[in-house]
Amino acid sequence: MSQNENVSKPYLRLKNISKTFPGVKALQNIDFDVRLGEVHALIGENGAGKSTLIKILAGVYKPDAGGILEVDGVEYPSLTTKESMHHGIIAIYQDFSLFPTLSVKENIAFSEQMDSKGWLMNWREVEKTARQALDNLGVKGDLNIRANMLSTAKQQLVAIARALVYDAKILIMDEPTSALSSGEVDALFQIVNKLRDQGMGIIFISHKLDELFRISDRMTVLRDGLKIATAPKSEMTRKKLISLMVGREVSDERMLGEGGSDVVLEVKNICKKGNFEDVSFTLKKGEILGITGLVGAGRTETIQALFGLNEPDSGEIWLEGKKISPKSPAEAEKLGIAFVPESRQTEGLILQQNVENNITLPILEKFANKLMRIDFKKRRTRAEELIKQLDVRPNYPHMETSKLSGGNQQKIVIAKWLATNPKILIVDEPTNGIDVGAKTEIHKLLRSLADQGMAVIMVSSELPEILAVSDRVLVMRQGRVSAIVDGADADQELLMSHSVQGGLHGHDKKGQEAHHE
Amino acid sequence: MSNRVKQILKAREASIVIMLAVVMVVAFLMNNTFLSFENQMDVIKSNAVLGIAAMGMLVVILTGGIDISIGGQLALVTVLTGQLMKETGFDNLIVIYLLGIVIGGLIGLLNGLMISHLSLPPIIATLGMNTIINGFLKYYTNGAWINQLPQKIIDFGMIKLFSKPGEVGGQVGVPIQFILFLVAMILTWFMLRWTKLGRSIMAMGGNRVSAERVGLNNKNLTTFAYVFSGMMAGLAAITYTSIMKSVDPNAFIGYEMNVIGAVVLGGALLSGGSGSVLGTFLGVMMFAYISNGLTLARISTYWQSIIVGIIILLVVSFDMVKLHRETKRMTKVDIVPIGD
Repeated sequence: MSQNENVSKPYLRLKNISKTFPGVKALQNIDFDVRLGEVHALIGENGAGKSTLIKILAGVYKPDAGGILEVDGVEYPSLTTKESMHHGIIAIYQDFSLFPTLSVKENIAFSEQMDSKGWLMNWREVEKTARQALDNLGVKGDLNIRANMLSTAKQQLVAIARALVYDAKILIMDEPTSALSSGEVDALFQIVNKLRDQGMGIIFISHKLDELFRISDRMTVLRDGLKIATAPKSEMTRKKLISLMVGREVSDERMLGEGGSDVVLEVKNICKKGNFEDVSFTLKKGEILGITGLVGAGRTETIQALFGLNEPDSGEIWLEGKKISPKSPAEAEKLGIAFVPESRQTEGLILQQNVENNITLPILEKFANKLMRIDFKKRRTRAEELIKQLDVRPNYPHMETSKLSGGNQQKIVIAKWLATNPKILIVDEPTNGIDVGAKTEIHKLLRSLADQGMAVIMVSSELPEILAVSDRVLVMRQGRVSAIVDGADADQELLMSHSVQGGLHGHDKKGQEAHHE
Repeated sequence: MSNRVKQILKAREASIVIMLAVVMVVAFLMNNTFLSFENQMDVIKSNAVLGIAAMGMLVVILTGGIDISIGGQLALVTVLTGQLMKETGFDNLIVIYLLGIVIGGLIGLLNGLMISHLSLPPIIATLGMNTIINGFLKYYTNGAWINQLPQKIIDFGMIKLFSKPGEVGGQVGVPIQFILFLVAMILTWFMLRWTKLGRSIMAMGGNRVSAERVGLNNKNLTTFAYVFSGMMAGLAAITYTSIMKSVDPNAFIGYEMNVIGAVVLGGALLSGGSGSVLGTFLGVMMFAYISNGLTLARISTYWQSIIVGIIILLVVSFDMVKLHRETKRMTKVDIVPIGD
């Protein structure tokens, strides 16, 4: 594809844009520009600031004072949603923002109709606009079908068609390929290329390096809220890109253990259609197994299979020499498997309840007598023990859980499951949204649990965290195990190269093949 | 099966049409007069109030809300206008109708403001409103009926269009209440289908976040839906007085369940965004036929409510199963075939 170097002046330019949330600098002094007729890839790890940047462009967030947004030659301190749309900056979010119960044509032409004069619908106009937009994209379809009856790929087309009706100059696509099959990705890329050739500027966000190298003209890498680099594709290599994405020095102290003894858990070739394929690994007593990979690689789905939340179609799970097939969390818990979910606030805790109630919830039966009356004294004692063991602060059992800090909330979720005396503890993104100091504390806690003989699985997309505590690291990519490496031998670049499609080690050809299937 | 037949069967209204047909056949077999023109018109006349109120409820349910105070609104309007007519002898029916619509609309406005601006859950706001209205009516009427209404409204209630003498005496024709029901339906249909307002309500009911992103004013749209529901309740209330020739302040206790039941029977989803005037009409007729058919078959009214309840559960379960299958089929994402 042409590099469109001839288009000189950027349509959209950000100068010195920062965004601070209480306690977090999401973006710092970002300079960024998009020209008409280019696909500009935006790359970064989870939490690098991509979403914040998009939301500033779309007018959802107001940047901190001092920065300038320049659109079509006009400078703004910040944009409103209306101004942003008025300038043709249209974001297609991952959920597409469609109206599920309205027809395709109405979804496409909705805003145009609402902005037109009069109070009646002009259905003929709706039909015409929708047909024209789809023709522009080069796709055909039933205009009268309800949007929620469409497949994900087709819903995306409707969302793109709608952006055309808005007269989009800059189209922001957030992870547009995350739910598409390879054939659908090809079709999408044809459309993206076509729009670029028609002179649209496209901001394309994706984790899949393969795709970025196929589609983009320029690339911008964000990391920890900073812009690391912007370069034309020709100046970028996979290796360079990965090192830019990962970048930071591994300063975190490593807390590796002895590496475990007897095998507690053995997973053999488990498959689940659409989730993961042919996953095998072992877990030893006293070790921490880190599982990493990009979002959507099937990490969470895999561990949910161990906890009875996502039963595999085939394959075997062995626990201490016995074959198990947990069908519900309750069953898994009885078998001695504990699971600390990623979203602790919604899945792991009852925030309005106090610490004691939360901690003792899974073991409430133990305090009940035959008449199901609860021995509150016994319960209080046990709760206090656990609070002490995990060093929860403040150490009041009657404190409302929502009032605690993120790190302490996480400790309570872990405490809750420790109370069940599990053989295996699975934690999913244990330090998500927790500040740095508390992170280390959680890591220490996990390490000490392993040292006491527990087998721990930690899922995380933060590579420093994986490296900090994992005795072994399992990397997943697109539903499969792409590597299992020793924690001591691993570094960020190695893990990242196993995580991305067509990483460092000449997977390019295979990646290409996948797209032709 | 041809595609066309399949398409018709797939339509949301299909299940209710089938059920309706079954009920009609059973009712006809039990009593041949069921299908007579005269009986059909009687059925529609006595269910016009339900039908008009259901149109308002449909619009509220489309926003994803619910209006529990619909029974209270009906009772309030019948009592206030009835009292006015009785005390003053005022009998300008157009003004009475307008007055009823305004009273209903005002109650709807209060509901709407509580729900959209104070963010009260619709079920709580309207339940509270219903309790207040019923309490007020008990205090105001002491439960006594209002009789001796002006002759004009009684005559109005007996108007039949295209009437001719029936076989067993009396007049047979299209009752005026049917016309009012028809007007309410056409008005609602037109609004939902042809106006930007109606389309915005459908859109918002389907996805509030998307609606906000395209700049719809969710608060105003929600408020409007309750005002519309209240106005329909006002229209229904005066129509009720014209049929009954008197006012019973307790007539509408528990009536909200009939109205909501009819709308839900008609295929509207309580989650919002989904439902139609045609479906709601069929839902109302289903209600009407069951009770009429059972009456003709001399089955006690206690059994009637049991049977109505069972049918609501059956039809709605059927819809839900169908919906589940559809969404399951649609959300299935193809797995990416991997080359290595």
